[in-house]
Amino acid sequence: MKFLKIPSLLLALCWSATAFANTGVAFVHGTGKQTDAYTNYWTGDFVQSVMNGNGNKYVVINCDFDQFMWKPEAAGCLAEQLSTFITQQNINALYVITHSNGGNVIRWIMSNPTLDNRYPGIINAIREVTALAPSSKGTPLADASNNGNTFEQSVGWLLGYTSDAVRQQQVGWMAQYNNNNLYGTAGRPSLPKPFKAVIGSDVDSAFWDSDSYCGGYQYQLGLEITQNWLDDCSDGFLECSSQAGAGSVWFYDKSKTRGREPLSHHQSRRDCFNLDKILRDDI
Amino acid sequence: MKNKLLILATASISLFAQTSYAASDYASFNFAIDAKQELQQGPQAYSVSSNEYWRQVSGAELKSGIVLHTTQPGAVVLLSSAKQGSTELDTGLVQLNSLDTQQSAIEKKVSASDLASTGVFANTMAITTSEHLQAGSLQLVSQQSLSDKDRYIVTVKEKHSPYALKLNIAQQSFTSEQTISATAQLHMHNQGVNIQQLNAELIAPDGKKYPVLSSVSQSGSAQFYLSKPEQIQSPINGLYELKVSTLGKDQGLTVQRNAKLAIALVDHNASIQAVTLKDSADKLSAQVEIEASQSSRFEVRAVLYGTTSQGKLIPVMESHAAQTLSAGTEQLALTFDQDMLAKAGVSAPYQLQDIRLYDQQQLGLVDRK
Repeated sequence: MKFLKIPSLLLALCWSATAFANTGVAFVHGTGKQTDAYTNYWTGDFVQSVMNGNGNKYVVINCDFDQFMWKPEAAGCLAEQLSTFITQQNINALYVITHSNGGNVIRWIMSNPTLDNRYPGIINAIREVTALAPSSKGTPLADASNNGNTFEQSVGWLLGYTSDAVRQQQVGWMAQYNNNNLYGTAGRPSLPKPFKAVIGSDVDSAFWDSDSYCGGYQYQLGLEITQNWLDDCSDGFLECSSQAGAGSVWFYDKSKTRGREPLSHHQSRRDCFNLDKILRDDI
Repeated sequence: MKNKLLILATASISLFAQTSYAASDYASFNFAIDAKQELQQGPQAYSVSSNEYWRQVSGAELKSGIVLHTTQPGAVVLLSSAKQGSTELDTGLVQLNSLDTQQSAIEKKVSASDLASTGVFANTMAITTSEHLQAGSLQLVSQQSLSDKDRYIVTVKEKHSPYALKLNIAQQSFTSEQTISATAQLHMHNQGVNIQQLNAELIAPDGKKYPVLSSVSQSGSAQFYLSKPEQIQSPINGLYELKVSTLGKDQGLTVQRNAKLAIALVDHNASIQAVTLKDSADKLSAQVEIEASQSSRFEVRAVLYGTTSQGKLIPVMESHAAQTLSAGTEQLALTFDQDMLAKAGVSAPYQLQDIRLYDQQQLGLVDRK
């Protein structure tokens, strides 16, 4: 029987490196104003499953991401909660999990280090960002829901679910921000820390399939309409090209999920098809 | 336009008329860039292609019927109610008929509640037209007792239509000193479609509208010249939108298309006058001379390139420095991370490329060299 002999110095060095890495996890929600994202956005089951075996240092962010990403209520709020978490828990290896527009807000912080004196500390503490279905290049659905606003003198007459955050996620708006204010897209300097995206590529909405109900069922009829604005590869809200638009692609859903199930936009923030376990193991 | 500053690797000290830093809010930050990265230089062109159009209609118009033009079967029609003050539409009382045959053009209706479940459209019902229907003109009418003053948006989306309106612009960020122009083409499979009607306007972040000068050619293309608003709403408030509506004719079909593209307008309140790299014995740094017409917090960003042992110039780091500057001429220091330089294994000659000046109070790009 042969034993693998590891040089003792190497072992000591490895132990030293891990001993100094104080890991914490941050869950950053998407568009919307959250006051209890742990319950309402991610669910406790998802958060606890991701953290299972990863210690107990985590923060679930609650901010107003109905605002433009640079607003104090958005990036300012995110910076405050991350800074407090980093300082209080002495975190030096922050694993950030974002969903949807949350990816844009953390990218704002990482791309504008001199804008706010909290940003450099956060950037330095970040180990990596895992962006679940990030809206890095916006979505044509944001354009469609904002088209009616061009008729009015004031944006007070709003259709549907639009908000400043939805205006910001129009395709042309995100192109402007990506070219001028944000890093990480093709041709631009890369972000200062790894930003890896998980891509949702389809929506399974067969009512007879129990998998369709994970994360909440989306009615087929509605999805057939919204698909007219999207490429064939989409999670029902974002095209794959937008999700893959910044940073690097970690994986497309079916390549790693249980049963090769796709992750719709709602499912990519829930414990569907082993997503929680994939994140848990990665942390 | 590529602008590079090549500085020799000899030690040099530049003397400036003013070297004081205005306030103590100086901040700098560097991060490494992968040497293999291909970085874009200068402003980027942007274009958008649209296969849809939308228009506002009143309750009175909906009751009497409005004409919608389609260029393909299987189009999607959205009917959206204004959030406040408009009667919610009864899906069952909305009809869509072919103008030619008077037969129903409806394949499927989706109610507002079903569409709202997607989390995207609220107060909106949808109709898909029959795949067996010829492209052409349809009449949309509601049998409901709507108030004449109710307001609705009708959107027609034709995902697989060969007809598209393409809007093009050379860059999406402009200062108050720059001329803004854009072009458009209404086309079918790259063949121009004659534009019979065109309307263009510039819409500010607060919804205010400005006229746009347009010229249209026979070949289906148009040019736009946007006059800048007297008072610019800078990007911190949101973006302007150039919205173009066209109507054309092709092979007996009426082609309607709308498109819009986003533009950032920035007050040109500062400019980069000079940039000097200083390579002293143990430290590489740069001084950026900025002339500002008003005080603000300005930020300089640049990509630092160094030379490898094989003589190749590679990107090393993205460098940032920001400080509140007074009106007048001031210096902003760019400092570079010496560890990053060492790790990249580069030496002189160094270059700074794509030097950008931002006004952080506007969140806008004011100059670029």
